[in-house]
Amino acid sequence: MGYMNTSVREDCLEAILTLTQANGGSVTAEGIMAAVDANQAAVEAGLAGLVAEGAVRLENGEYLLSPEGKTVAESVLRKHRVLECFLCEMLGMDTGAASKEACVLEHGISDDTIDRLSRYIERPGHGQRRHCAGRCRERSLLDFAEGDLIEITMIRCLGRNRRLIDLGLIPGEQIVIRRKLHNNAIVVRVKGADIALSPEIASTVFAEPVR
Amino acid sequence: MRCALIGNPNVGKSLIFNQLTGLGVEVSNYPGTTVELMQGKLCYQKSSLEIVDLPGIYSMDGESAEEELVRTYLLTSTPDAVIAVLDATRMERNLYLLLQLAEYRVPMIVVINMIDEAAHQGIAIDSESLSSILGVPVIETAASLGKNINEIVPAVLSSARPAGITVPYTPQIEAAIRSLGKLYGATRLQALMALQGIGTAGDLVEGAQTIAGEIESLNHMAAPQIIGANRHLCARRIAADVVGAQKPDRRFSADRLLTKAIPGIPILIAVLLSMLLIVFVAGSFLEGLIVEVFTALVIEPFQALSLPPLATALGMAALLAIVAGLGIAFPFVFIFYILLSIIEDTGYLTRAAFLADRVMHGFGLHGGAIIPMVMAFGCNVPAVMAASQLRTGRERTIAAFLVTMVPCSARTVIITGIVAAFVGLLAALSIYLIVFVLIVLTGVFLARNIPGGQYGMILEIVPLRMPDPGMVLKKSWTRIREFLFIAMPLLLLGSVVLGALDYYGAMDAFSLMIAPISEGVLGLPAYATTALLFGILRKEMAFETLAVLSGTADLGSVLTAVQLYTFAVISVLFVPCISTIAILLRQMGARVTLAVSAYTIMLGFLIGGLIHLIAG
Repeated sequence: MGYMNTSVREDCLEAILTLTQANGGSVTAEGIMAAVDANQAAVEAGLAGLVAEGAVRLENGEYLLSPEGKTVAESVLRKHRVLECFLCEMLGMDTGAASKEACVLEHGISDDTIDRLSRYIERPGHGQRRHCAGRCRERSLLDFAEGDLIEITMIRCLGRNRRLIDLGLIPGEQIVIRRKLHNNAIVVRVKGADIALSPEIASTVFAEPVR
Repeated sequence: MRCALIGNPNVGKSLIFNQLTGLGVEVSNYPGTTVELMQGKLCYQKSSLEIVDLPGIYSMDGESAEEELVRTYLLTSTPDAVIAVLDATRMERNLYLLLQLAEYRVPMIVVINMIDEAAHQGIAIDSESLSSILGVPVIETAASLGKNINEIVPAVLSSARPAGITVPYTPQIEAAIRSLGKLYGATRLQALMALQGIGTAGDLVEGAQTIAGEIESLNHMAAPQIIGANRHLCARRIAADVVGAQKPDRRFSADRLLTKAIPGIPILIAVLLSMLLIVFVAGSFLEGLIVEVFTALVIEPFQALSLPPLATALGMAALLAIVAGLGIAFPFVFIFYILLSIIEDTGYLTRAAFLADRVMHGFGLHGGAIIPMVMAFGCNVPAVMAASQLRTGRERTIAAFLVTMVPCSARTVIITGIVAAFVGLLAALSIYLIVFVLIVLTGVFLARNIPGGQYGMILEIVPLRMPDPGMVLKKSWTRIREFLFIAMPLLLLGSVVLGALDYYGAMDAFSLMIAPISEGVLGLPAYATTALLFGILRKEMAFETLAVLSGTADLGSVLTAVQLYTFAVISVLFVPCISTIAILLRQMGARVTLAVSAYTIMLGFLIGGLIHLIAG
C-alpha cells in the first residue's frame, strides 16, 4: 500500500504539472482523475495526502503546486520523458506502450540513473534523435476523420516547421479536422482559422480525441 | 513621421493602406530581398506622414522572407509608430503577433479590422477593455466599408505609445532572460530572440543557445516552443477577456464544395480553363485594337519619314519591339493578372493549392507551388520571382524548370496565331497536351533525381471574400510593372541589336549556316529557324519574324501544315525568352539558368525532330 500510495501521489503531481502547462491554471479533480491511471478512491486519497503534506494547495476547487510539490513533479515528469524517449526511440517500443511502461518505471528509478540514461540518449553520434516531447501517442492527425475534435499531444521535428508554432499548432491546443482528402492532405481549424497541411506534415502532429 | 502597418496576412491591411494613402504609392523591393514594400505619403493637419505597408506575417520570429523582412525593418529602420492591424474574427491568433510586436517597444496603436464580419459571426469585442489591457488606443474598423478609417491617423499622431503588456514566460525562460541581460547586457527582446537562435551578436546568441540547450534537456521541449506556447497562452487569456462568446457559425460555407475532391477538383480545372479562355478571347480583341492603332499612328508615319536606311531599320526594330510588348503581350498578361488577382483576393487560390497538393507532391513540390505555376500562364518572369520564394533549393530548381515550360501568354499567341489559324483547333490543343505531358514527365524525373528533403505545405485557407475592385486593379498593376520594367527594356535592346545584325547581313549568313540542320533535322526552311531565334527575345516575335521573313502573312501558302506545327511546338518549348533568362539568372543563379536553357533547347529540337521524322 505504501508503494502504491507514493506512485499515485507522484502521478497526481505530474498530472497537475502537465495540466497546468497545457491549460495555464485551473486544474480540477476531474482533470487529474482523467489523467492518472488509478481508481478514483486512490486518486482522491493521494490528492488529500498531497494537500496535507503541503505539496499541493486546493483553492476554489483548483489544485495548485507549491514550490516543493513542483520540484517533485518536475523530477517525475523528467523521469517519465527520459524513460519514454529511451523506450520508444532506442528500444523501438511502440509509443503507447512506452508511455505506459514509463508511467510504472518512473516511480522506482533513481535520479542518478535518469541522469546517466539522459546523457546516454543524447550522446552524439547516436543517430538522429527525434524529439520525444510529452506523452507520445501513436495516433497522428491522419488517423482521425473529418469533424473530429482533437487535442494535440506532440509534434515531431517542430523546429523544422516553426510556422506550426506561430499558427497555434502546439501541444495542448484543441483543433478540429475540417477536411481530409483521400490523399491525406488535411485542413484543420486552429484558433478560428483553417490551415491546410500536406500529408507529411500532418503525420508529424500527434493528437488524442477530446472526450 | 514614419509609420508602418503590421498584421497577419489577409487582415485587410492593404485595403486600409489604400484608403489612408490613396494614389501616389511607391512600390520598392526592400534592399536585398524580393519582398515588396508599399510606401505612401499623406498629410494630416500640416503634419506629413509616411506610411509603409509591411507584408502580412504570422510571427515576428519566423523564418520566411516576409517575416525576416519585417523583423529587420523594425530593428534597423525603426518606424516612429506602428499600426497593428488585427482580424476581429481571429483575435486570439492575431493577438499572438501583437504580443510579439509589443516586445519591440515601438509606439503603436491597434486597429481591429473586419468588425462587420465579426458582427455577422456573432463575435462581440470589447475594445475598451483591450485598450486598457494593452495600454494603447484601439480602433474598431471595417475597411471594406471604409468605417472608422479616418480615426487611425489622428490616433497615431496623438496617442501612439509602446504597449504596456509583458508576456509572462515560464520561470526558466524568465531566468534565462535575466542572466542574458546580466552577462551580455541584452534587452528582453534581444534575449528572447537569441534564445530562439535569432540575432547577429555572436556571443549573445552563442550564450543563449547554451542556456536554450539546458532548458530543452530539462523540459524536453525546445525553447522556441516554450516561448511560443507562453505567448499563445497569454493571447488566449486576453482573448477570453475581450472577445465575447461566439455562437457556432451556421451559415452555408462554399468550402463544403470547394475543398472536397469532388466537386472541388472539377471546379478547379474549370476555373483555370475559363481563365485561359477569357485571357485568350479578351486578349486577342485588345491585341487587334492596339496593334491597329499603333500601326496607324506610329509605324506608318515613321515609315513615311524616309530616314537613312540604317536609322529606318533600327527604328523599325525598336518600334516593332514596343508594339510586340504593348500590343501583344500586354493585353494578355494584364488581363491574366486581373483574373489572377481576383481568384487570389477571393481566397480561392489557397483552396486550389490545397487541392493541388497531391499532384505537386509528384513533382517534388507542394500545393503552395501551384501559385507560381498558375502565374506562369500570364508571364514567366513574375512566376520565376514567385518560385524563388520556395523554401529549399530543390523546390526552387524544380519549380524553375516547370515554370519556364508553362506556355505563357506570348506562347499562346504563337499557338493560336500559327497552328489554330492555319492548321486547326485540335492541332493547337494537341500542342498544349504535348507541353503538359512534358511538364509532368520533367517534374516526375526531377523529383526522383534532385537530392534534398521535401517540405510540406502549411498554408492558411483564407476566408472567401468579395474582392475589392480597386485592390484587384492595383495588384494587377504592381505585377504588370515587373513585366514592363524588366521585360520591355530587354526586348527593346535585343530587338535593336537583332535589327542591326539583320541590316549588316548577319542574319542571312546565319540562315545559310543553319540551313543543313534546319532542313535536314527539322524539315523547316532556314528562314524559319532564324525566326525561331527571334523567339528568344520574345516568344511571339518568332511568329512575326516568320511572317516577315517568309514575305507573306498567309503562312499556310508557304509552309506545310507539318512545318507550321513543328515550328510552333519548337518555339513553345525551346528556351525561355531573354527576360525569363535574365530573371532566372538573378533569382536562381547561373547553374540553374544554364540547365533550364540547355534542357529546353534540347527538348524543343528533340520533339521538333521527332515530329519531322514521324509526320514529315
